[in-house]
Amino acid sequence: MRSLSYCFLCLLALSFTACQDVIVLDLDEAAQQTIVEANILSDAQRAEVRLSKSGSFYQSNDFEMVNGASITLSLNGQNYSFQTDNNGYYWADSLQIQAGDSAFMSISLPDGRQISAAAACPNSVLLDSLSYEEFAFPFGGQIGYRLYYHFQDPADTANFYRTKVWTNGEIEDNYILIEDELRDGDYLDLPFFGSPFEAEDSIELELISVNKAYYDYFEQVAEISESGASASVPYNPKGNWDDPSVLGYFGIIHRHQLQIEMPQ
Amino acid sequence: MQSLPYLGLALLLFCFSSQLWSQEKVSLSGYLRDAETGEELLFANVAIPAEAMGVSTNEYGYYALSLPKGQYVVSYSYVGYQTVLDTIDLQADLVKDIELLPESTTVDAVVVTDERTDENVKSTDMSVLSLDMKEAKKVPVIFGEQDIVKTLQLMPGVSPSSEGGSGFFVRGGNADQNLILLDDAPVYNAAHLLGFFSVFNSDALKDVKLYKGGVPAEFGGRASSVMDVHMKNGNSKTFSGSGGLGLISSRLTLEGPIVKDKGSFIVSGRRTYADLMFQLVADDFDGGSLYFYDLNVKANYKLGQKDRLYLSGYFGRDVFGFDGSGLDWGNTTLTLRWNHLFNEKLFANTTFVYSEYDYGFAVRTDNFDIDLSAGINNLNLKQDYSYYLNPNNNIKFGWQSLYYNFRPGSFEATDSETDDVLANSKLDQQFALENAAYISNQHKITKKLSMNYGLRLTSFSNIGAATVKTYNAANEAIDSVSYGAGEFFNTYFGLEPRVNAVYLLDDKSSIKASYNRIYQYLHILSNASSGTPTDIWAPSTQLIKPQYADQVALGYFRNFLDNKLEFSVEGYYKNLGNQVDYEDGAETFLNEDLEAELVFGQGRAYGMEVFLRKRQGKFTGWVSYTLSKSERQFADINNGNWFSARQDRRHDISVVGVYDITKKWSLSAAWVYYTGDAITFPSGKYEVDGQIVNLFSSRNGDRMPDYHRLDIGATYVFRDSKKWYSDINFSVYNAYNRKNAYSISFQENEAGTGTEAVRLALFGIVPSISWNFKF
Repeated sequence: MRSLSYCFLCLLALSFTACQDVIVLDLDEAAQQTIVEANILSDAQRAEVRLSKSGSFYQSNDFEMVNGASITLSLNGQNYSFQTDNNGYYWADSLQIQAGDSAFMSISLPDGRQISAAAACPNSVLLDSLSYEEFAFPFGGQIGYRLYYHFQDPADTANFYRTKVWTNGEIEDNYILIEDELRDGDYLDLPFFGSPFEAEDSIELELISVNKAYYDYFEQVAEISESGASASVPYNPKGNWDDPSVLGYFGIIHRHQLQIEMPQ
Repeated sequence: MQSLPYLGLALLLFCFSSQLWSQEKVSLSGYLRDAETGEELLFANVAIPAEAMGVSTNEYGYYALSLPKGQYVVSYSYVGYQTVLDTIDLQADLVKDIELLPESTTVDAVVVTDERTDENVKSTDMSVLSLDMKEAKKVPVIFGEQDIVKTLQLMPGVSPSSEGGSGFFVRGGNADQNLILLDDAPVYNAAHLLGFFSVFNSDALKDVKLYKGGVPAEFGGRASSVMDVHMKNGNSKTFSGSGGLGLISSRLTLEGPIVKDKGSFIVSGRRTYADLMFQLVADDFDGGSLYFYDLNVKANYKLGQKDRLYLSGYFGRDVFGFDGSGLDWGNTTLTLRWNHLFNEKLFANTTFVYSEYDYGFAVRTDNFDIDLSAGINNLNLKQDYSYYLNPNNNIKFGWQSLYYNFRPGSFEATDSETDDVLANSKLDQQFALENAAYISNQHKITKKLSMNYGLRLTSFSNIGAATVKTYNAANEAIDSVSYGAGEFFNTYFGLEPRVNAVYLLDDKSSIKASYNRIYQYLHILSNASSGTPTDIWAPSTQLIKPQYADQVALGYFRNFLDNKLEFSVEGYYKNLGNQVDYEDGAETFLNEDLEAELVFGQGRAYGMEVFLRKRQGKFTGWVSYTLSKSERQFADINNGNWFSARQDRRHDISVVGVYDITKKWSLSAAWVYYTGDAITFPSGKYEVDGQIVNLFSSRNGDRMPDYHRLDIGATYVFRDSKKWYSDINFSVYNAYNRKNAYSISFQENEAGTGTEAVRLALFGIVPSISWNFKF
C-alpha cells in the first residue's frame, strides 16, 4: 500500500495544484464514553491502568480522567490492589509474572459498571541488533537510511509484536504491528517502513512483545487512523473488556529497546 | 417467485402467437454503414414513415424488415448523419446495404432530408444513455484526456466515484454492480492511474450505450447497469490514421482495408509519459517507471455475403515502480466473433471471449524480496440470435457460458541473496461456471403500444478443488468439506424477467415503463472507502448469496423543435438484495477466512432524473438533474438501522454546452454540482497509548461538502480536408478554482494540543492543451 501512496504523491506533483487546508466542520457530538487502558509491563513487573473519558472533537487534548475506581488483578493465585494519585492513573508494583501466566483484571467503575478481562503473558523477546542501509528516494535524488531490526522469534508459539521508533527523541507516529504466523521460529531481519532517516539521526527502537488482545486492538486503531483514498470505513476499535460499552483493552507486554546512530 | 415461470411461459406464448399474422411477405434487409469509412452504424433507424413502421440496426449494423409486396419509401437515419430516403419496389426478398454521409459532408448525389430521428420517443428503450464519440470529443475534460466514462458521468443517474475519477455509480448502486463490456468482453477494472483515467481510448471506439435500467434480456450479471462499448472495425475503404499529443499521453490510431470493402483492421495505442518527464527533472529516476498504456487491435473479414469474422483485443497496463519495487496492474481481453446470416430473417452471432485482470506488487531490498499477486480470468462462449419474424416482432434468443478462475492472492518473501523462501502464503484459487439462456421479443402491439419483454435464466456453480468451511459466531472455522478438482457444488439459479413498454401519446411524446430483475454472482470485496487497483473480484459461495436487483422505472419522453430537442423525465425504484459488507475491523489482506468476516444486508435506491438534450445544430449539449436517495441496511452495522450509502447524493446537476461558432472555432463548457458523499466523521475523540483516536457514532451520518466545478474548452481547427485534419484543443478544468474536498482527514494539530479537520483538494485550476490530427 505504501507504493500506492507514492503513486498518489506523484500524481499530486503532476497536477501541481493539490492543496491541503484546515476547515471547520459542524460535527455531531457523541455521548461521552469511558476508555479503560490497562497494561501489565512484564519487563518492569508493574501494572498500569489509565481511566479517561472521551471528549468533543474540537476540544483540547486534555481529557477528563476517571477517579474513584476500584481495581483488582488476580495473578498466579495472588490478588494485587492498585494505588492512585486521583489523576485517573492507577498502578500496582512488584508483580510476579512470566511468559505463559494468565492474569485476570476486574474494575468497578464509579458509574457502577463492573468490567473484567483476562490476558496471557507473551514471551519476552529481546532485540538482537539494529542496522541500516543506504536508501535513495525514488524521485528526489536525496539519500536517506533505512533501519533494520533483528531478533529471534520463538518457535511453536504464536507471537505478536509492536514496534515503536523514536527519532532524536520524537516518536514516529505510525503503528507497526507484526505477527509471526508466516515466519514462526525464524530469525527475523525486518525493515522499519517509515520515511527514511537522515544522516546523524539518533534512533531508538523498542520491540514490544504483546498479547493477542493488545495486537488485535491496535491493529484496529492503526486501520482507522489511515486517511485518504485507501482508508477503511471508520468504526470504534473493540477491545477485550467483557462490557462492549467500554473502550480500550487489557494488554500484557514486554519491552526491549536498542539505540543506533545514523552515519555522518 | 413461483409466479415467475408462469409469467415467462405466458410471454413466450404471446410472442409466438404473432407468427399467425405473417403471410405473403418479403423481406428487406442489409447493413447501414458510414459512407466515408465503411464503419457499420449501430442502433441506426430504418423506417417506413407512410406505414408508421421501423426498426433499428443491431449491434453489427444489420437490419431486417418483413413487408407485404409493394412500393415503399424507406428512411435511413442516424444521429450526426444525413438521412437517406430510398424508394423501392419490393416484389421479392431484397438486400439493400446503405451508406450514410456524415452531416458535415456536402454532397448532392443522394436524396437528403432534414428529417430528424424521434427514436428516443418511439423506442422501448428507457433508462439508456448513448454517446456518440464525436459528441464526447467536444466536452472539456481534465488534462484534455477524452474519456467516455467521464462524459457519461455528466448525464442523469450516473455519478463519479471520486473527484476526477473514472469509477462510477449508477442509480445508487455500488461500483461493482456495473457490467463493463468492451466488444462483449467483461472489463474487470476499467481504471488507470488509481482511477483517474478509464481504460477506454476514445480513438478506438465507435459507440457506447449505458443501460441504467430496463436492461434487455441479452445482458446480465451485474445488478445496476450495463455499459456496452463497441470498438471501431477500421476503415474498410481507405488507409487512414488519427492521433494526438496531450499533456498526459499521446495517441496514434492506424486503420485501413485488408481487402477493400471485404475486411479492415484498426490498431490504436495510447501511452502516458509522466516517467519521461520525471527523467528530465529528477537525476536518479533511471530505475523508475510510471506510466500506463492501452493497445486496442481489431480486424474483420467478410467470408462471403453471409459470414463475417471479427477478432479484437485490448491490452492495457499500469506500471509504477523503482529499483524493482512497485505495483503494476492491467486488463487483457480477446474477442473472436463470427456473424452468420442464416437467411434474411435470422442473424446469428457466435462469440468467444477471454478476459483477465491481474495485479502484482513487489518490494526489493538488500535483505529480502516480497512478491504479491492476485487476479481473475474468465473464458466466455456465447451465441446470440436475432429473428426478424415480421415487422411487429423481432425475437432475440441465445445462451452464454462463463468459466471463471479467481486468484485471491499469493504472497512470497525470499532472501535477496540466496532466494530461499522466508515466508509464503497462498489463498486457494476458486473456480466457477456461470450460465445463461434468454429469449426476448421486441413487439409492436398496436401503432401506439410497443413492448420488449423477455426472460433470462441464469445459473452459477462453484467448482472444485475447494475446501468449504463453516464458522461459529466467533468467526472460527468449526468444520470443513473438501471437493475434488472439477467437482461441481453449490449451484444457484436465477430467473430474470425483463419488460419494457412504450405508449405513444402523440407524434412527439410517449410514456415508458420498465421492470427488470438481475442476479449478480460476483462481488468486489474491499473495505476501503474508494476503489483501488488491489480490489479483487470474488465469487458467490455457500455463504455469500448472489446479489440481486429489482428495478421499476416510469418515464415521460417528449421532443421539441422538430425533434432537435429531446426531453425526458424518469422515476425509478430499485431494491437490492443480498448486499455484502465487512464487519468492523475485518482483516481483508490474504485472509483465508475472509468470508467469516462478511455481513449481509439489503439496499434500496430511488429517484427522479430529468434530461434535456440537444444533439443537432450549431449549439449542442444537455442539462441533467437527478434527485435521488440510496440506502443500505445490515443487522450488524449501525445498530441495524438504515444508513445512507456512500454514493447517496441528493442532488446532482450537470449542464454541458458545445457551440460551433465558425467552421474553425468551437467553444464548450460543463458545470457540475452534487451533494457531498455520505461519510462517517468523528463525533468525538479519546486518548489511547498517548495517541488521539477518533470516536465515531452512526455510519455515514455526515456529508462531505457539496461539490461543484466548471470546465471550459475551446477547439481551433487548423485544417479540415479529406486528406488532412488537425485541431488544437485548450481546456481548463475547475475554472473558478473551487477547493472540492477529495478527502477530509481528522488529525492532531502540529502543536499536539488539539485536533483539526484537514481538507485535501486534489485539483485546483488545471489548464491543458492537446493537438489532434486525422489523415
